[in-house]
Amino acid sequence: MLCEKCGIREATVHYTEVVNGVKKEHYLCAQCAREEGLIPGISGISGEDNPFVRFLSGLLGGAQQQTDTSSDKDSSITCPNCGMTFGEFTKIGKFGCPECYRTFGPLIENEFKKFQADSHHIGKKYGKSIENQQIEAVLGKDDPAAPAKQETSPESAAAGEKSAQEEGGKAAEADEEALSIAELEKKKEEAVKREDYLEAARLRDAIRKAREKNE
Amino acid sequence: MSEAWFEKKECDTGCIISSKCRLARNIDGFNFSPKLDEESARRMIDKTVEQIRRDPKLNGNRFYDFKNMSLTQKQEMQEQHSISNYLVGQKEAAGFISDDRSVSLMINEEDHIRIQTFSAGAHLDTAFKEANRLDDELGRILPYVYSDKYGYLTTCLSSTGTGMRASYFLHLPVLALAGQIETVKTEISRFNVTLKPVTGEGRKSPADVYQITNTMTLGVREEDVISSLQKITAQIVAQEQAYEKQYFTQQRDHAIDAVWRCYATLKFARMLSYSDALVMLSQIRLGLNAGIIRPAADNAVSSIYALMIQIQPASLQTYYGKEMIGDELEKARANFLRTNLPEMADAVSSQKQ
Repeated sequence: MLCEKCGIREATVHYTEVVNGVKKEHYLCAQCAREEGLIPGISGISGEDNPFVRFLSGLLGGAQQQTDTSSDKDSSITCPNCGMTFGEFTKIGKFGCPECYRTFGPLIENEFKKFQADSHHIGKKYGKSIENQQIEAVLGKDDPAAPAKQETSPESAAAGEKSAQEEGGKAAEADEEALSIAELEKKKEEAVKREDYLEAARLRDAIRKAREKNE
Repeated sequence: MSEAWFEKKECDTGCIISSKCRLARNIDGFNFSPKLDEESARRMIDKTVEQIRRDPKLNGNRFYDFKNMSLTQKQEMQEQHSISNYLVGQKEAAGFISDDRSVSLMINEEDHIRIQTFSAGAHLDTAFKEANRLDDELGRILPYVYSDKYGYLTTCLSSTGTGMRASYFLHLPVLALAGQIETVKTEISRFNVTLKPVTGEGRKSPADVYQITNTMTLGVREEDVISSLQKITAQIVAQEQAYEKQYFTQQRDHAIDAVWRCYATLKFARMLSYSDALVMLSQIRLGLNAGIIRPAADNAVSSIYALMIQIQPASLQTYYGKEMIGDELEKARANFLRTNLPEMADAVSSQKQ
């Protein structure tokens, strides 16, 4: 089959575009696919004002191409707050509201990793200067200065495991007093497994405290 | 108004014209730009402005609101890098700007808030510190949307995390002359930075001015991004300097002649297009840095980069206080440069004496 865009070269890229639940099949040659930004190449990531939009649409389009059966279902997923669909999101590469992160975040975890360093934020934290943050990271303190808003942030529900432990603070510690040592040990192991050593250290101290209390 | 950052002498020294830092932030309780209607945008702007005005630390900056501005006024701000292209396209927008235009706060950009700082010359640390300080202050009075996992939540996921774009404006005339810009672009892309033209339109920069910027914002630390950008930029600068040295050695007569011809044209032409003027100003800047020419008077005002900014259409119209297009604009540009380009003297023969 010839490329539907140039009509000259052989089509080697099969691309399924799903916009607002309507599925369209595209057959392109490698060169046209690159021009369309479906294959990340030099031309796709430079020069434009926002190089990522096309690049991202390409990546996400590529993901859909491989998981054809689930793509129809995914593209109709809608943000309950602003009404943006996953199809719309992949097309423009922009979120409609903070809630979209919770809705679409889990679907694009891998894509995030493809063009960002990771899918987890390690930079400046809200509510404190970077300098304080470094000091507090060393001390292993939690975040008392951050506004209460953080607890309702999309992340707390989206990727619960990480936020729960970071937002923990005093409430979590109070709950932990009710937990048995075995349960705390289990929590500590889980923390080690996900390489959250700060949380593991905190739990270790909690266990020690509980043991002392029992004695 | 005090001297603008782009008028400072530091903008004319070496390959690095300026340093820039931008932070993207959004406010809780409002949708992001793709789902924010004009009415809600106006409410968001008014609420934000009210909060900022109450803060004595932030209130020193000059306030602007698009509802009281002409298109030319907006475009002039865009030409001076005070506001973005995106903002000019918005119906509802407002912001604050410092007297020297090095600090700009845009409200209702692609993100609700864009903090932007400039520093003349190679001072990215200064630009970052200033942006960070402003961000701390704003974060205290405005409820940002933030998540522990994703960091600062932004409209575009290319900004998610730190929301930071750090950049340098680079003058690379001889790398451009040697056709090396595309090679540099390819080389640096694997380090997660991009290079794009600043002045002019399209892919090529008639002024040979390029902006190098980080692409990653998630899973990276601000300081690491800046330090890596500094290292990569140092290598590009070294390459440009090596090419310049070779150019002024191997093609010395032609190179010196090109600088003086451009100077002559800028000093005597009666009509100048924007891109022609940029090509010639680029040669003047190169000539100054390579020690071919020098300002005849020590107190010469304005940097060459400032002239590149000031010869754009909206800036010229504001300067002459009238609407102009086509030939009239080209005449005004030539006139502006004859008057404002500092007198230059021969730096080569004065060295020999």
